[in-house]
Formats: sequence, structure tokens, C-alpha cells
Amino acid sequence: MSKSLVEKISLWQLAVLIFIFEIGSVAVVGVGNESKQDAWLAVAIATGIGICLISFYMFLLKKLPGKNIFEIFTFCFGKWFGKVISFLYVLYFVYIASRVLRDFGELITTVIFETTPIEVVMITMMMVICYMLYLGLEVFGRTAEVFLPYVFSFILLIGIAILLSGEMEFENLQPVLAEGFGPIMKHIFPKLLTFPFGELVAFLVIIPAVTHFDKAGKVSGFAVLVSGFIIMYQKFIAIVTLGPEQLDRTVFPLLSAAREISLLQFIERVDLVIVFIVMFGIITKVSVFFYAGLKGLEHLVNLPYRYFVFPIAAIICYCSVQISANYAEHIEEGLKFIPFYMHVPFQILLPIAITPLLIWKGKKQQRGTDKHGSV
Amino acid sequence: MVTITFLVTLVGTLFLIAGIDVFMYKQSFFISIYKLFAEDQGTNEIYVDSALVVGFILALIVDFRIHKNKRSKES
Amino acid sequence: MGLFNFLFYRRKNKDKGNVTGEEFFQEERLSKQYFRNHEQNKQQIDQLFNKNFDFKMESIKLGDKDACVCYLETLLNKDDLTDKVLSAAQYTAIDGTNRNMDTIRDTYFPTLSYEYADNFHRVVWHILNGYAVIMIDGEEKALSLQIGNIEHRAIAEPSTQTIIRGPKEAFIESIETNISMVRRRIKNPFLTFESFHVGRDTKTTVAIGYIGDIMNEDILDEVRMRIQKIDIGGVLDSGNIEEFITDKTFTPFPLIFNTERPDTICGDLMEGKAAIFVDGSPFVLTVPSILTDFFQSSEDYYQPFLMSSFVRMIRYISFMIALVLPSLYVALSTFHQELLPTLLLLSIQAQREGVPFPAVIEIFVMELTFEIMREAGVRMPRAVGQTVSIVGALVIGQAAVEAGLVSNVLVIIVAFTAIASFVTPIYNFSISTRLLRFVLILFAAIFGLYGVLLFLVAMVIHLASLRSFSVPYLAGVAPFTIENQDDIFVRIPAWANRKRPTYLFAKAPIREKGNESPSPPPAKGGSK
Repeated sequence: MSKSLVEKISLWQLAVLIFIFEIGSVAVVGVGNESKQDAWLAVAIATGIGICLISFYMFLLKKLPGKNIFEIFTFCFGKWFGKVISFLYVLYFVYIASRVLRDFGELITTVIFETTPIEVVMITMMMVICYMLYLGLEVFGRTAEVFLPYVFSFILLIGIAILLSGEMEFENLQPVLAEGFGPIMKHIFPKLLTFPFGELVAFLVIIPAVTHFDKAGKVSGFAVLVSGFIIMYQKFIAIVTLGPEQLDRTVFPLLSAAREISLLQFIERVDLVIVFIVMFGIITKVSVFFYAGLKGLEHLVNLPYRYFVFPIAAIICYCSVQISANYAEHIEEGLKFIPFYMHVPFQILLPIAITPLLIWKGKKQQRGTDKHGSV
Repeated sequence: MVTITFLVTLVGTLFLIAGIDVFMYKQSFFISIYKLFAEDQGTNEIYVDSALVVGFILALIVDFRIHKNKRSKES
Repeated sequence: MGLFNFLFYRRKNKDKGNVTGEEFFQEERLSKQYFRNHEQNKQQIDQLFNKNFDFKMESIKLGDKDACVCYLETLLNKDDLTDKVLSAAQYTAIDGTNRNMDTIRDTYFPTLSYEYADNFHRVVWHILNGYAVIMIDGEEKALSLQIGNIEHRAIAEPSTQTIIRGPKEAFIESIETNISMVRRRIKNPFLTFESFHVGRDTKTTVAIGYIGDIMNEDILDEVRMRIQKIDIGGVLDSGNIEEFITDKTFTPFPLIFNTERPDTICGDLMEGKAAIFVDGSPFVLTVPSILTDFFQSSEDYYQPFLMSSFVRMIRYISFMIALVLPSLYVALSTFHQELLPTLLLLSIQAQREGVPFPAVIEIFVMELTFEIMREAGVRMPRAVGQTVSIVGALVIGQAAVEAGLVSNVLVIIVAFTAIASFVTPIYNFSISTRLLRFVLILFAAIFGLYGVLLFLVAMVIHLASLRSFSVPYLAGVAPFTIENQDDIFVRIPAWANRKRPTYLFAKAPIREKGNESPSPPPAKGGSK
């Protein structure tokens, strides 16, 4: 009963998870708004870099097949220092999970339930997530599969509906690259690269649990590509519907864009429906971070992660309220602090730092086994 | 063990949050910590506080269960 | 797995020495010994049965041997007994030397099917099963003769799973007849029926049917194991068995499919499933079953594929309607009025104007009323059935609206929901929607649309976690398999549907080879 179960997800489920994960909270808060009308271009470039990033992650994982990031840390840094690094990662994942949860809570309380306390929204949502993760990764994968058609089709339909409502103004896209590539690149690194693409670092925990590990690299690269296209599509819709100025001012861009939908004098105020579609994305996103954190704890304490689901969920709820006093502060931190001092080290610097160690240790180990084999 | 992990993680995340506040708003560390625990007027922080307590109790229960299982296996 | 087990701790039954197919009859209170001495046996049986009015023990002479015939006359055909056993024993003489049981049987009862009972338990078991047991002095086993069976209900049309086109016979209460109905349809030598005896008191025959060269062995072993593990007082219907072998009891969704249609069972057998027949029940179980099975009727395969695909879509839609319509009404009318078009909102509000209750109470009361009426309609004697419908339609429908207690829209919603919940071909499944509907209304009342969505997400998670005999309950959808899409949401034409469902891991995955569209090739100009 206390032994940890070996849980596997299929390649398709991995792709679905990455896809929903990527477009989940981007649909809420929007990214790359600083690049104004070139945001879609910025997203396109960031997608390219994102694919490089996931290939790099896959490169790390392939050095030690079947081992997740925490086991790799222990392998590289030894038992104790590895545990310290792993614990930092656990904190990072828990913190980001609470941030994502906060995003959604703010969305719900701003748009739909003005009078409902944000805490209630978060706790109820967290309960559902707990239930899912308690049942395991397989159930998580299957649930995401059920969500996929809804998320995908609704996001596509928004664009078509806005187009049919006649609210799109394609002049908003001009001028293309008014200030050259310089500012765009500045926006891409680090903000657009780290969120949403860099956050794939959480998948360093999930990818080792895929049934056909050798194909996981291609599949996840493909999933990132597709989700990049969808984010671009969202961006494109938001720009042509709202125009760059309004886009920069609005808090929830896609939502504001969807407000323009008015069809047949019957389909109106679709933005509410979109909130609920976004909900699937948020559930997936929080769950991925949460699961990554739980797996880290499992590795640290050597107990099945199911034991930690409810206690850590309480922490996530608590933190999501405590991280900031109000939404402005939340966004401020999200723009000025998190990308530079949390995302970059955890998503890029640390993985790069362990690469030489990993290669070196891997070779040493191989040599050791060769010797043993010859003797 | 679960309880200890719970507490350590909680303290870790709180320090993280407080640290971010220190960095962002250039205030002293203790004020940041104090602000975390201060009950803001007009908010419903009591909900998440109670969630935290429930989480703690659940951690205790799980620990108790593990303990009991171990003992029954030994005997 | 910690918490949930802690909270809902369920003690599992320890594996006891159970009744299996080998040991027909196990009764600790009876001695097992069969005596060579005739009188001792007689005494033993007499002790056991002497208070029964229908127990008969008749002494006869087989040649020069003393013998007696024991039987329960209510269990067998008396005329046949007199004809074939008692009268046969009277006049045929036999040579005094050199006989054993076989020659006796050959001489006196050559036409009757028989079994030997070499211990006392088996003798009792045969008597209880309607055999005539002949005990002969000096022999070490008894001869049990099967006399014609007692009467049972004739094969009739299915009463709960009716169809328009297709075979119109349904299973009945006799397991032999049921199995014969399946055997008549499938003439495959690998079609196998294994029997078990379940129930301490009833010792009901339970048979697992499967096609040996299709069915997956692992799943089959699991089925056998679970049936052997059952420790229950009595089995009166397949429902009793279902609850024992299901993977999870604490769920509103049925994890085992049941049907009273032989053609459905045959289709399932040929897909690679196992059927569980229970004596005395016209409902046969099939395992493993998945969610989408409950949306399929055997008629789908007899009607044109376009139509049956359309009908399947209708079923899925009506399932959703039956589940969420009332809660959507509550959520929209109390929390999210802005989602409704203005005119519709105005008309709803105008109707609700005089209604004294909030929407939740209104819909709760109406749904409850409807459930009461439905239950009354099922239980009440046929003769007064009319009354319920009249009272229901008139009083609840019209009078309540006219009195201003409920709004017109609400009556429409409740009625539509009710009709939609009847669309599912399997009655079991509509129960789950009925249960969940009430919970959903509650969630909608508290959290609005957010609550409804949250509950639906939790429901999907729950569904994704369910398994039926190690097959995921949402198989085909999640985990998504492209090969199975030909028979889930739509049905593609039969000639193109070549494969068995992959989630069943059948031994022979291909159903038929190389079929092509029967439409004639293009007349001219086309390729050869």
C-alpha cells in the first residue's frame, strides 16, 4: 500500500498536457503586450526559442532515461546538496502554482463574482485539483484529454465569432516592426520566453513518466509548436480586435476581445463562457506545478506523494492569497521580479549549470560500468 | 514526517514571499513577515487560514496512519 | 493510499473456502458419507427431508435388488417420472449375477440422462435440483436421473430495452433457455460457458460465457476470480452479483452493463467481452463495460449507419441535457442573467414575477415531485396507472402554474429534462444522471456557473479514474485511441468497421478481412 505506484501516461496525453498547459494562463493574463502590434511576431520568435528550450530539457532527461529532474540533481550534486536544490525547486513549483491560482481567482472575482471572496474560489478549485492528483497522474492525463476538444474548439471559435461580428480591424496590425527587432527581442527575453515557454521546466518531472520515452522529445516539441501557434492566434485576435493601445491597458486581453462578440442578437457576452474554458487550462496548469512539487517532496522524504496532496494544497491556497495584497501588486511582481530572479535561474541557469556535471558524471559512471564489465 | 514536510514547505514559501516583498518594496524583513500574518481589514483571509489548519490536521492524520501501518506490519 | 482509506475504511472479506464448480454442495452440518447399506442411507435422507410434504421416497425393486427412488415432486414432472422410472423398474428383469451401476442403468433407464452421486452431499444436491435419485442396496454410489424440467415463463418481447427493428426476443428466468438463445446465434466451437454456484443458501448457477479465441485471458481470469470470491447468502438476480464483482461501489455510474437482449449479448461476446448469466434473472451482465456502451443500442447496428450515428449524437446530447439543464437554469437565472439574450430574460422574469420561491427551491421541489411521480408510476398496480399520469399532468403541470406556485419555463425545463433522461438505452445509466442532477442544482445555487463547471470537472475526473475489469471506463475517449472512433460517437458502415475495440485486448483483433464498399465501381472512365 505504501509503495509508490509506477504511473505512466501516453505520448498523446503528454502532448495534450503541454498544449493545455501552454495556452492555459496565457489566455487569462496575456503575454507580450509591451510589443504592441508586433506581439504576435514576438510570440512566434519565442515559440522557436521555446522549442529549443524543450529540446534542451529533453537532452538533459535523455542522459539519465527514466529519471526526473530531482533524481538528476541528486545524481549530479550528491545526496545533500542535491536535496537542497530539489527543495528550492519544490518551493518554486509551489510558489508558481499559487501564482497561477491567484491569476484565475482574480479573473473570476473581477469578471463574474464581484462579491464572492477570492479565497472561496481558490479553495473550491484546489479541492478539485487535489481530487485529481490524489487519483494519480494517469487520471490527470485522461482528464486533460477530455478537456482538450473544448479548450481547442472554443479558442478557435472566438476568433471566428469576432470575425463574423465584424469587430476586427486589420489596420491595427500596422505598422509591422515599427521599431525594428530590438525592442521585441528585449521583450522576448526573459519575459515571453520564461512565461509561458520556460515554465515547461515542470515537465521535467512528468516527461520521464511517458510510455515511449524515446519519442517524447519529438512529441513535446510538436506540442509546443502547436500551442505557440494558438497563442499567436490569440494574440492576433486581441490585437486586431482591440488595437495596440487598448491591448496594453486591459487586464484580461482575450476576455476584452471576446466581449466584442455579438451574433444573431442571441450570442452575446460570450466572455463568461471563455472564463470557464480558461478554467480547464488553469486547472491543468496548477496541477502540473503542484504535481511537480509533490514529486519533489516524494523524492526528498521518500514517501508516496499522495500523502502530501492535501497538506500542500492547503499551502498553495494560503500562499495564493498571501503572495500579494492586491492584483496590481501581483502583476507588478509578476512583471518585475518573477521573470528575472525566479524564472531565469530555475528554468535556464540551473539546468545549464548541471549540464557539464551531468555529462561528466555520466561518462564517469559509464567508464565505471565498462571496467566492471571487462573485469 | 508529512507534518514536518508540511511545516518546512510552509515556512519556506512564507520566507520566499516575504523575501520578494523585501526586494520589491525595500522594507525590512520583519515588517514583511508581520504583514503576512496581519489580518487585513475587509478580506476573508480567515478562509485560507482555516484551510491551512485543515491541511495541518490532515498531515497529522496521514502521519498517524503511516505510524499505525508501520506498527501493524512490525507486529 | 492514506487518507481516503482512512476516511472510508472498508474491511475486505478474507478469502474463505468458497463454493466452486468442483464442489457442488458444501454443508458443514451434513455428514458426507454415503453408505453401502441401503437402510442407513434411507434413514439419513429421511431425517433431512421428512417434514417436507413434497418429498417422496418410493421403494422399488430392480430385479432382485432393493432400491428406493427419492425426489421432490414439486421440482419434476410427475408423469415423466411414472412413465420412465417407476414403470420401467416394474417389469424388466435382470440376471442376478454380474451387475454394476452401468448395466443397471443401461437395462432399466437407457434413455434418461444421468449422473452418479458418490457421496451423500451430492445425493442431496441432486434431489434439490430436481433429479430422481435411485439408491440401490449394496452399491457404493447412487444413480441420479434427470426427469423433465418444471415450467417457466415463455420467451417474450423485451420489456425494458425495446427496439423498432431487430430481433424481438428477450431473456427469461431460466439459465438453460438463455444460454440456448445465445448458442443458437453463435455457432462458434470456442463459445464456452463455465458454471459456478454462488450463494450459501441459493446455490444459484452463475455462468460465464465467452468466445475462447477472442476473449482476453487476463480479463477472463479476473472475472472468474471475482465470481469465485463472492460470499453471499442468496443470489436472486444478476444485480446481486453485479454489486460483488464491480470495481467500485461508491460511484453513481454503473460499471457493468446489463441487458435482456440476446442479440446485444452476442454482439458483446463477439467483441471480446464476457457475459455473466445468472439463473433466475432475465438480465445478463457483460464485462468489461465502458461509458460509451451505455449509449449504444443494438438497434444502432440494424439501422442505416447515418441514422444510427445521428441517434447516438442525440443520446449524448440528451445525457448532457438531463444532467445540466436544471442547474443551468438556476445558475443563469440567479447569477448570470447577462448571458441570456435580453428578450428571453425579460420573458423569463415576467413569468417568474408572481412566484414566491427562489429559483433553486422552485426547481428542487419540481424535480422532487417528478421523481416521486416516476417512482409511483413504476410501483403502482397497472390498473391505477392512468390516475398518476392524469394527476401528474393536470395537478402538477397546470394547476401549479395557474396557482402561481411555479413558472411556466420551469415546468418546461423539468419536463424536458425528464424526457431527455429517458433517452439512454440502459435504465441503470439514467439513475446516475438523476442522482447527479440534484447535486448539480445545489452547486449551481451556491456557485453559479462556476459551481456547475467545477462539479462537471470533478465528474470527469471521477469518470477518468474508474475502471471496469482493468479497462479504463472512458476507454476510447481518454485514453484516446483513434482506432476505436469508428464505433463510439458515430457508427461507420459495418463493412468498414473491421476491428474489435482495442481496449479489450482481444486475441483476434481483426473482425473481418478486406471488405470494401458494396457500392458498384464507377461505370466508365474510372480506373480499372
